This record gives sequence, C-alpha cells and structure tokens, in this order.
Amino acid sequence: MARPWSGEAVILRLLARSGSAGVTLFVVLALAFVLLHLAPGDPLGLADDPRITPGDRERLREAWGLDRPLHSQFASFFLRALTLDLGVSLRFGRPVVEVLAGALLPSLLLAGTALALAWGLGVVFGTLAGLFPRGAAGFLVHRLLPGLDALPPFWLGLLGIWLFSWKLGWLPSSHMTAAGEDLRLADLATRLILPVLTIALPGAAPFARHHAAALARELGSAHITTARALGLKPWRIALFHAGRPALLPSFALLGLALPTLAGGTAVVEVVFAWPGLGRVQQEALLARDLPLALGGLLLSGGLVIAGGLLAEGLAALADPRHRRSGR
Amino acid sequence: MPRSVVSLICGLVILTGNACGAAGSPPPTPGGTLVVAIGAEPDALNVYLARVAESLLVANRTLPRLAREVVTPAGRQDPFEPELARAWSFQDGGLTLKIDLQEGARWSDGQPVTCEDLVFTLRAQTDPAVAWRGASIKRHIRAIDCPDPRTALVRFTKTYPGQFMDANDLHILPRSLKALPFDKWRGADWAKLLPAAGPFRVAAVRPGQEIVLEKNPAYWTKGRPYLDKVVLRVVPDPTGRVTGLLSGEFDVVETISPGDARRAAGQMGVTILRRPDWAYSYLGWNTLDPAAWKDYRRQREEACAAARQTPCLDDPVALAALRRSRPHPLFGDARVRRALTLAIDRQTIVDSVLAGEGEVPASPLLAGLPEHDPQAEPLPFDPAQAKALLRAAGLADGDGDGTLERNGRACAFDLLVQAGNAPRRGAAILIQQNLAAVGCAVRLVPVENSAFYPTLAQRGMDAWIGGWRASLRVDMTEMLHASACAAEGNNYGCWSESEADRLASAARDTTDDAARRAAWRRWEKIFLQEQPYTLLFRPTLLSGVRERVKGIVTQEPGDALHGIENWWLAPGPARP
Repeated sequence: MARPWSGEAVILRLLARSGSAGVTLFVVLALAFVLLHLAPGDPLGLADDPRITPGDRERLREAWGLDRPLHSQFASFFLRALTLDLGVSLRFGRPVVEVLAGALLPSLLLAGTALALAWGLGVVFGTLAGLFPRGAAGFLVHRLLPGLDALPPFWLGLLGIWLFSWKLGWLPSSHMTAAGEDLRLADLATRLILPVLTIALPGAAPFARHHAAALARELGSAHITTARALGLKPWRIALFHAGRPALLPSFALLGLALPTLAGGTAVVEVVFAWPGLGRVQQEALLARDLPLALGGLLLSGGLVIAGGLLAEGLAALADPRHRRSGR
Repeated sequence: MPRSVVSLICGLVILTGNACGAAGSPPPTPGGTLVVAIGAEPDALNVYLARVAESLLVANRTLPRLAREVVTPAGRQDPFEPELARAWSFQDGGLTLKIDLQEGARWSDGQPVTCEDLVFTLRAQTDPAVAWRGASIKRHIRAIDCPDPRTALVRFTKTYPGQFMDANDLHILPRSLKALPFDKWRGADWAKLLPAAGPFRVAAVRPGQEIVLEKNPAYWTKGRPYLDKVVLRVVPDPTGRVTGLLSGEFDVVETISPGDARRAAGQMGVTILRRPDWAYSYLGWNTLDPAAWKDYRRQREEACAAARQTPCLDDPVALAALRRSRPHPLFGDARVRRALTLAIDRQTIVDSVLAGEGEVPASPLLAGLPEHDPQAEPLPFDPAQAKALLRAAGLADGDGDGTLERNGRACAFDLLVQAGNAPRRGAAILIQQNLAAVGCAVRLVPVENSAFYPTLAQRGMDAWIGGWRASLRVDMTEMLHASACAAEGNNYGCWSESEADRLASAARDTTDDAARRAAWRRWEKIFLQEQPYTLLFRPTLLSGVRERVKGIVTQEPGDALHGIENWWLAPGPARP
C-alpha cells in the first residue's frame, strides 16, 4: 500500500536524481572532449593559412594550450569549469561564460515564449478536439498541425519573412533590436512574432494530439461517470475533473521539449539572425571552438537536467499519485 | 525607361568610376545611418587577435594603416594609396624605410598618432603572447626608430622586394595599450579599450547582432566621413540578407551569391557591384606516389626517434630523391597533367557553378600585377588534343572497359573535395564528367572542411580541389617549390621543377624590378607547360547596394566597404 504524500520525499527524490544526472553530465562532457579532439581538423584553422610558418604554428598551439596532452587539457578545463572559468572562445575572442550568458537570455526568451505558446495552443486545441473529435478542431489537431510540424522550420520561417516582412512589410525579419538602436520592449515584441510562430505553430501539434487523446480517455473513465451521475456541469467535468489529469501527457512532453530552450532552435535563430545559444553552438562546432563547444554542452546539459526535474515537479503538482514516494 | 534598366546602367557607371548621375547631381549630403548586412560576426576588434575575415571590415574603418593596398582592374605599378603614411622613401641602400606620418592624425582619445605607436605595434605583432598569425611577416624588420614624433625609420636586416608591404602589414595600434600586458589581451573588452584613428569609431557592440560604428570626430581628413553611423548587422542566412536588401532593411549586403545577385538585380532600387576576388580554386595533382611518401615518413620518424630528434624535420635531399625515384604513376608525368587540364571545360564550370561570375585564370599570379604576363592564356578546352596527349603518354584502353591504362595502372583516381564548399563540389561533378569522356574514372571523396587541409598534409591523395589566396607579394616558393614539399609545407602535390625553383628563388630575393618581373614571367611559362595545378576559377565577389547609397567609386577585392568615408546617402526614406 502506498504511503501518504510527503513533500520531503519528493525533494529527496529530486536531489537524488540531480546527483545521478551530475555524474551523467560529467561522463558526457568527458566523452565530448575526447571526441572533439579526435575529430580531424585544426581548431586554430592554421592548416590552410600559407602565411603561417611551421614554427608559428607550434607557437600558436602553445599560446592556446593545444600542445599539452589531452588528459592535462581536460583536467585543467574541468577544474577551471568548477570556478565558472570556461576559457576564451576561439571563434568569438571573448570569455566563454560571457558568450554563453549573452546568448542564453535571447534563447530562453525565444524558445520559452514559443514553448509556452505551443503548449497553450496545444492544450486549447486538444481540449476542443477531445470534446468534439469530428469537428473543425479535430481536423486542425489531426490534419493541419501535423502538416505544419512536417515542414522544415527554415522553410516556414522564410515563408513568413517573405510574406510578412517583404511583401506586406508588417513585421521585421530579423534581430532583437532595430539597426543601431538599443533594446525597446515594444520593438522586441514585434521582432519575436515571426520566430515564435515559426516554432510554436508546428510545436503545438504533439501537445494537441496527446491532450486530445488523454482527454478522451479520461472522459470515458469511471470517476467521470460518477461525476456525471452526481449532476456536475459538463464544462466543469471537461475542464477540471477530466481536463486536469489529462494534462499529464502534455507535461511529460513539455519536460521532453525543455532542452530546446538550450539551443534546440538553432535553425530558426540562423534564419531570423537571433543571437541565441543554438546559433552560438552551431558556430562553435563549425569553427572547432573547443572551449565554447564544451561550455555550451555543459550549459545545455545542465538545462536538460533542470528541465527533467521541472517536468517531474510539475507532474507531482498535477497528479497526487506522482507525489507518493517510491514511484 | 524601366527602372531596372536604369539600375543596371547606374551600376555600370559606378563600376567605371563615376557616381551615378554625377553631372548636375546634388552635392554629397552629410549624415544618415548606413546599414550593412554581413554574414559572420567579427571575432575581435583588435585585428591581431582576429581569425574571421569580417573583423577586417571593422579594423579598416577604425584603425589606421600606413597605406592601403589596391589593385585596379587595369593594373598599376604602385599598389599603395597613402593613408597614415604621407610619404615614404628608402635610405641606407634600402636597409631603412623612412616614413612621414600624416599631420593632425589623432586617436579618438585625443592623443596624437606618432611614431611611438608604430614601435608599440611592432612589439605587439611579434610578441608570442599575442600570437598574431602573421608575425613571421615582420622577421626581417630589426627595429623602428623615432627621430621625431612624425617620422619613423624602419630598419631591415636585409633588402628584398616587398619591404614596404611588410612594414605596412597590418593596422597601427595606439601606444596607450601598453598598460595592458600582452598575455591579458585575449578576452579583453576591446570596445572599451581601443581608441580609433580611422574615419569611424566603435559606438556599440551587440554580440550576435551588430557592431555600430559612428563618425570619428578626430579623423584627420576634414569633412569626412559623410555618414554619421555605419551599422554592421550580422545576418548568417544568405536568403535573409537578400530579403533584407530587397525590403530596404539593409543598404548594403557585403557578399551575395551569384544566384541571389541575379534575383536581386531585377528588383528596383538595387545595384549589384562586382569586384575580383584574390582567391582562386584549383585542381591539384599529387606528383609523388602516395605510398612512397608513407614509406618515407615512417623511415624518417624511425630515424628521428633513434636520434631523439624533435621536431622531426624533413630531409630535403631525401625528398628530392624520392620525387625522382617514385613519382605518382599518373600525375608524375607532366603530359598527363596537361592532357587532363585540356580535357576539363573550365569555362562551363564558371558558367554553371558561378553563374558566369568569375574567370578562368591562366596563372596563380594576380592579373594586373607587373609580374604577370598579360599575354599568358589558360590552356583551351580541347578533348581531342587531350586524348592525343594521353595516347602519347602511353595511356590506352587495352581491355576495352572504357578506362585508359598504363603499365597495369588504370587512369582511375580519387578526387578530394571540401564537403562544405558548394562551388568546388559543383566543379568536381563536372570534372568527373569531363574526364570520363577522355577515359579517366574519377571517384569524388568529400572531406569535412576543417579536416581537409590536414588530410592533404598527409599526402595520401591522388588529386584534390583546393584554394589559394593570391597576394600583391608574389612568392610562389610558399606553394610550388621543392622547399614547400616538406610535411608542414603547402606544396601538397610536391611538384618541383629545377628551372622553376631557381627562378622563383631568384625572383623572391632580388630587388631589381625588371629582373624580378622577367623571372616570374618565365616561371609562369613553365607553370603553364607543366600544369602542376589545373586552375579552375577565380570568382567575382558580388555586393548588393541600394541606389540611395552614393559616392562608391571602386571596390577592392578584400574590402567591400573600401572608401566608405566618401559614401553618402541620398535624401529620402530608407525603405522603398
């Protein structure tokens, strides 16, 4: 028999999960470090520069610490990382922490807004489709949104730019600020519209589909039959008694989608010249910028772990069964 | 007359050196903000820490140079336009370069630009902690002396051609940076630290988005620049850059692809400007048997290990012997290389891969330089002659399988190409078709960009499509000379010809202009005959410019914003 709910048990469980996730992160980091070093190519891009003499090449490698043995490089990277010193980015010439911190907020803003909108639209459309599966909502959830989800994001983004920026001139096509101007909230809001919709419209499809299915399942369950027998209003049953537990799959999906906050929107960031983490990490890999690539991995790994824990916490809030220890 | 026709005519007029509608046109209007879309974010405002070419777009606007290197399409004897150096001359039999600096040149922090800045810059350029990748350029400069603040005496250890070019390379830094130790330079906040002495200074840096330059009131040319601000907007997506140009969001797109240029040129208010690139693509032939190189390196490393010799340098005598004793079974023969060049339709490559925006170069020396023979022509596309030459070299289809053979070795080989380089990938496919038509089978091997040159350094390939950036300093000993065949050298195909090597060495070292030109022209003839590389194309660089941008006279290969201090914006709305 399950023990009654205990807040302490949930916190302990989340702490234990964080510990094991930390070990996983360390292993992933070590593997990435080795793989990035094993990959062919030259992080300093020296091989194709004829001006650099063999002696200069050695000098440059020494200046960037690339001449030391691999284990020594990893040890110093890891020890410095503990003090939040991730070195200097080869690609951007600035401290890695500064580069990542500068890109994190734009990414969180873009991906967070898009994810929230995708989830919100998904739940609304899913509720309608769950209640009226044969109506327009059903068509939207089971036909139109999956169609949008199947489109490559860059294509949808370019389509939006072509229509709303070039042809109609309604919305700006890129960047967080107007050229040469400081950040203004109203301007930022208009600049968010196209990239957010590019991510959120297709992104709403899985939320809507799962929520519609879960709601239909809940509506056929015994406790809903009891609620109907007790004479509760249909809208109350749909929204609260069936709707609340039906949210669980969408929360689980939300947890799985949270890693997109940490660089999962690279393509959209490139198309809309958005200065986010995805773009930074893409450039780091293309430029073989090892300090930045590893720093990005550390950050995105941390965010994935945090996302997983958050999803678990949300699930515990939505369903008392998840609050019990040992599950 | 349709507006698009007017645009085209105006574009041509701009390129020939006259501003559109110059006769009776209004005088330049000061003020305004020019928005330029660039493809990548500059990595450093301090040019000596930069790796990305876009960093030069900022440095060229903010930091002074002694002189600007220019090559006009017609060519010129003196490839320098004075900037910070008002005049210069050589003394002491060529061992000392005397430079007179501009009167009134000041940094944006109010300090005058003096000879001490040149002294400090040389220290920074050669300090190991800065690790400037061009440091070896300064190896023949012994010191810089300052008899007075406006005069610099650059002392060389020897005389050689290109002394001024070496002294001029690269931008001048302010001596006020002395306060920051060189080992603290990497990661420093250069937007705050670095004053400007060019026409613009850095007003704001928004990482990942833009760099804002504003008019530098301390600039030594009065009344310039006309523009108040230049905003360099980072737009990684090429389609985004073109769409922004067409919608009027950007005034200039620094680099635009031939396909996008064709699309944009048909739109009202947009002009496409063309400038020759200094880089070209070539098909390189390995003249050394790859197996021989492998054997040689193994033996060399064993010998080094036994002698505890580090680093394990190549033995030039052994390498020269290897080239003679174990040439590549196909490409060690100049007749085969020449035949395969004749079999490749390079003009079709230019027309299809670059949409006609480029040329087939005859020589790796820049057209327009006095060292280049203007009579030199690339070999024609002539498959019949190619087949005859291959027959003469002993290649025949003995077994009737459609592929030629010689001494049991089929004319079949791997061609390495950079996976991320679309024009070269496209060229490789056409080369494969062309060579199949003369009986040679080519297998295309895409190699990831960052691994490409390290792969070539292993010398295990038969042939590859590579690139080279030519320069005003003609020195082919870095690329096609016996001395560059060593493992760390850039002569990946190990081509060497004794007369060509002798000419290249002599031309590199002589200060006699006439002798140098004659030597390089004779070298060019040998290159054309020997075809160590089949030169494929030299692209034309394209920029998109809105018509409201006025005052553009010429565009230089390395700098789409050349002469921006003379640009101005016609009054009117930014968006069409």
